[in-house]
Amino acid sequence: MKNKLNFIEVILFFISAIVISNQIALMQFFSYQQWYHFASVIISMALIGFGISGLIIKWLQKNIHTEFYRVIDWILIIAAFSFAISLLANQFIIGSFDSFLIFFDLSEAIKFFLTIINFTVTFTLLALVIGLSFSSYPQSIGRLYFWNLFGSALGGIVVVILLGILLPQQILVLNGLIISFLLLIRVFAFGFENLSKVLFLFITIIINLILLIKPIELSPSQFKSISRLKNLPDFKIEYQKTTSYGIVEKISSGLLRYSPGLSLNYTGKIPNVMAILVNGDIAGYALPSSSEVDTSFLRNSTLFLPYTLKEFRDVLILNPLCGIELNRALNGKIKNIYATELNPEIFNFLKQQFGRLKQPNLELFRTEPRNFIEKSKQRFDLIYHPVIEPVGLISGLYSIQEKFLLTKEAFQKIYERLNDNGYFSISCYLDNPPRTFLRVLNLLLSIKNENGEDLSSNQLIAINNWNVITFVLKKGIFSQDEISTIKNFCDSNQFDFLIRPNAIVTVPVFNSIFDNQTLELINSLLIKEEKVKKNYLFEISPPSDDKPYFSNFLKVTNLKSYLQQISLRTLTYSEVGYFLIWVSFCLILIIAFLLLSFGYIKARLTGRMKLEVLIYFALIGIAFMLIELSLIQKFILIFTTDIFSISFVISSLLISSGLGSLFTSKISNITFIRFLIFIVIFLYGLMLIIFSNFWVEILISFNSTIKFMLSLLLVFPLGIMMGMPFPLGIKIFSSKEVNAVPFAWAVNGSFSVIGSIGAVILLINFGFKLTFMFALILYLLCGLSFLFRKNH
Amino acid sequence: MKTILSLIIILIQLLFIIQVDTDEFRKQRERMVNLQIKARGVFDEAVLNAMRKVPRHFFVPKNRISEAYDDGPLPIGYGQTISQPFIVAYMTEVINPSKCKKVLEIGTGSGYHAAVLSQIIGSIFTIEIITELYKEAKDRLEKLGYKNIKLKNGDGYYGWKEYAPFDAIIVTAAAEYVPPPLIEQLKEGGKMVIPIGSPFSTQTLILVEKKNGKVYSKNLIPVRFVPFIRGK
Repeated sequence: MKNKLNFIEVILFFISAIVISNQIALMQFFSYQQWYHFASVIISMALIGFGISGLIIKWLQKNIHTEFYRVIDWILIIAAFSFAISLLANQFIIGSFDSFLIFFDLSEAIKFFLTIINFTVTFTLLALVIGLSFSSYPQSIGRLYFWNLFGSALGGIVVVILLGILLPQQILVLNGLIISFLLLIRVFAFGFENLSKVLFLFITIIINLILLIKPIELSPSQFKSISRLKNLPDFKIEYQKTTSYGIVEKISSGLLRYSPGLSLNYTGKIPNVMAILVNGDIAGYALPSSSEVDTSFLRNSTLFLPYTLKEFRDVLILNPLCGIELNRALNGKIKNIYATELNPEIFNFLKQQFGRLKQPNLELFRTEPRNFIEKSKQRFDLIYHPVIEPVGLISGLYSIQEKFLLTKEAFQKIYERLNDNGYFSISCYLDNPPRTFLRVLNLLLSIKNENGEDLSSNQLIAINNWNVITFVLKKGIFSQDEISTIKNFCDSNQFDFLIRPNAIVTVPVFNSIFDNQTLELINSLLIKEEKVKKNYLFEISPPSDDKPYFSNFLKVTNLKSYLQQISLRTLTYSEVGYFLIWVSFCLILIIAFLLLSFGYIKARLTGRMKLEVLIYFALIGIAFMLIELSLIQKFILIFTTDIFSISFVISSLLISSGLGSLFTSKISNITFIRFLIFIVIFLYGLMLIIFSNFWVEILISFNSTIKFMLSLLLVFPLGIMMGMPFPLGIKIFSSKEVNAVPFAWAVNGSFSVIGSIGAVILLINFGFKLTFMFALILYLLCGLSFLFRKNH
Repeated sequence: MKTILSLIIILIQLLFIIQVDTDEFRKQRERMVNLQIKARGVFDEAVLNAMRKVPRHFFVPKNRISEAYDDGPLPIGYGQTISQPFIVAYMTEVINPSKCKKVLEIGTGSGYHAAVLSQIIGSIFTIEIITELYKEAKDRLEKLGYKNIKLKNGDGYYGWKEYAPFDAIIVTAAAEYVPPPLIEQLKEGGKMVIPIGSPFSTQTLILVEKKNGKVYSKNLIPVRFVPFIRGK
């Protein structure tokens, strides 16, 4: 018996780790195939799996417990098998859905739905093992719970390390293999009662092994950069490496060139480049390192403007785009170049390419630009931001992606890092209807000087060619000499000097690309006519750290007129990411509703009891997920990438809330004491909101280890308290009616699923603070419902 | 059994019907011209007639035939699309088409735009970088009997020097820069139409004109296009 319990503990530890690792590997999997990690959808899949498993356990309760080990063995074998099968089914039967086509191709929406179902199967099987272990050994729940939590936490950490070694689809089958080998050990230790299990286990091991050694090829959407590049006749993947920051690929083709902002009168050659992709999206371009390559074409671009203004001592390049922006900088007169690159592979590549550089001095920092700006105390003569959204990125699909470098707070920090008379340069493609460059303009206009006042209108200029606009902001007033230099640069390249000092907007001569309405709009933004910004069809206000969605231009209040201008078919070419979340929400809502209905029908409770359970567990289900997803958004800024943030928040919240549930048994039965739990959650959460800027700034400033430890300290108290309401509710309701438990489980699961995607929608529309506040109010309402019960 | 057989026969007949140009498709084209093109200000009769003549449903994937005359672009595979009918008409009108002109098209795609151009322009040269699309378009245009279209599978960046200079150049996919060789291959006074904007976002149609050795660009209308593969 003891040995068997030990085996269950080991299994529980690994299964819990695998549940988390499966979620994060799937996020990476979707990041490559689609444009988005679909974190909320994947978390929902796992929760649905847990919900279904609860119903299955309830349904088969009597039979399962009598034959626990036989059932567990089979579930584990099928679970191990399901990793390989779900991958193969996704690849060869269902087919990879194309989020780009979901809106006008029903079959793509069906594929999306089937994909959710397909991957939910594995989560359900894993959840069954956890649920069965708990319900079969209630006397050892403490120990089992410990292994469950420990496994979950470790799973979140190990998977991030594994992503640096294996492809996400390999991690999925590795999970299957781990389960298979655990079972194999069990065969040797205890023996299986029949041969068919052993046979099936070996088949499972062989299939998973084959898929580990020869992983299935990911099939990215036909509209992703990698797919489009594959269509080039001499396309070649020179190099592929998986990193914790995504899959890095170097692509060569004799047909690849990169030259945004190029002058129309440039007659020289544009050399070939190598494209560097991360998760199938272009991250930048690299020119051959040969000294014979003529890089002077980079001077004939609007992007070169800041380098013409003077000789610089210290220049910071926020994103060297895998090298091409360093090549551009090398065409200027600079003493020291500083650049940031987070991805270790691209960082090493840059070191190889530019490491031998003697003059100018080049210093590379392996960090993310916003983090560098926050941490560094150094000041620069020029801070250079390349063209926003390098080719390959699709603004619409990225409308739900957090961009913490393109927020008011980031721009303010950049300004503060400039030396007196230093410059900040940023470029973007022109779009129509105008949105991106207007938002950049608003971001620049949001910067305040040392006294907290608006900048002078003599500090900002902009030039444009036929499709790119380059802004230069000076920490000082533009001199006449500088204005002459800009004019000469424009004349020789046939660029237009669009925004001149004193907020003068001139009608372009060479590139008549703006209509009068747009020119008037630019003018009114420069003179800060707030009404114009408010009345504009699109949201062009500067994004903030609270709502860092730079590429989301959708104003929900203008949705009707927006859809009239942009038809459903062309929606796929605009803010599709935002609508994709709504589609996910609707699909998940259907599944959650089905789960809930099943639980509701099966629940043998009085109408009043059902209502009380429904309200209580729905509130805590939604509130928990709103807080989890809000924290994920905030921690991206701290941990630099979404995968790190997801991994940290999920793991830390799981452990802390698990500990919280353990403490629940020690909590007094006095209603007011229980109510205090909700008050503490509310107050602690409120503190997090009020001081969010403060703690974020503090955490960013530390190195990774201290950052991690301090983040744990910050999240743990909240997690511990958030872990209490669920077991507390179970205790209270089950003391009145034992049948309340499965219904409570179903309600909580269903509303957690809704909450996870609902959180993304709330975050995009209302930002971190309001979403978090909303969750806290829900917790408070839960607490009040306790008092209400007492009074009643 | 009889019912199944008759259903199969009807299905075969349907498959046959959609491969030919029926009165219904002609009516759809007429509607397309009146409601989508003329209504938006394209009045050049030659262009309108060309749009009436070319059977667009031959140029879209089979599973999209019912949408062939809809007011929007359609995916044709390989991450590419066939442009919205209005845009094809508009771009054609902008270059002042005539039988004596020579036009270069960068990005053949399905071959639809080249087919429209071939009705009203003397010689059309079109380059497609994606081999599969090139083969499909070549096959399709040959079957439909378009004689004045020359196709090439290759990099649009270099244009087609052997036949340069061109009276007009039509670039059907958005690009981040205009390749210098294309500007060189444009005749003095020639016109180039090109969609701009970052790929997949809403894009703008730009007219590039060569006048007295200088190159000017002008915004025409907002448009949504297939993204231009770099290097083309």
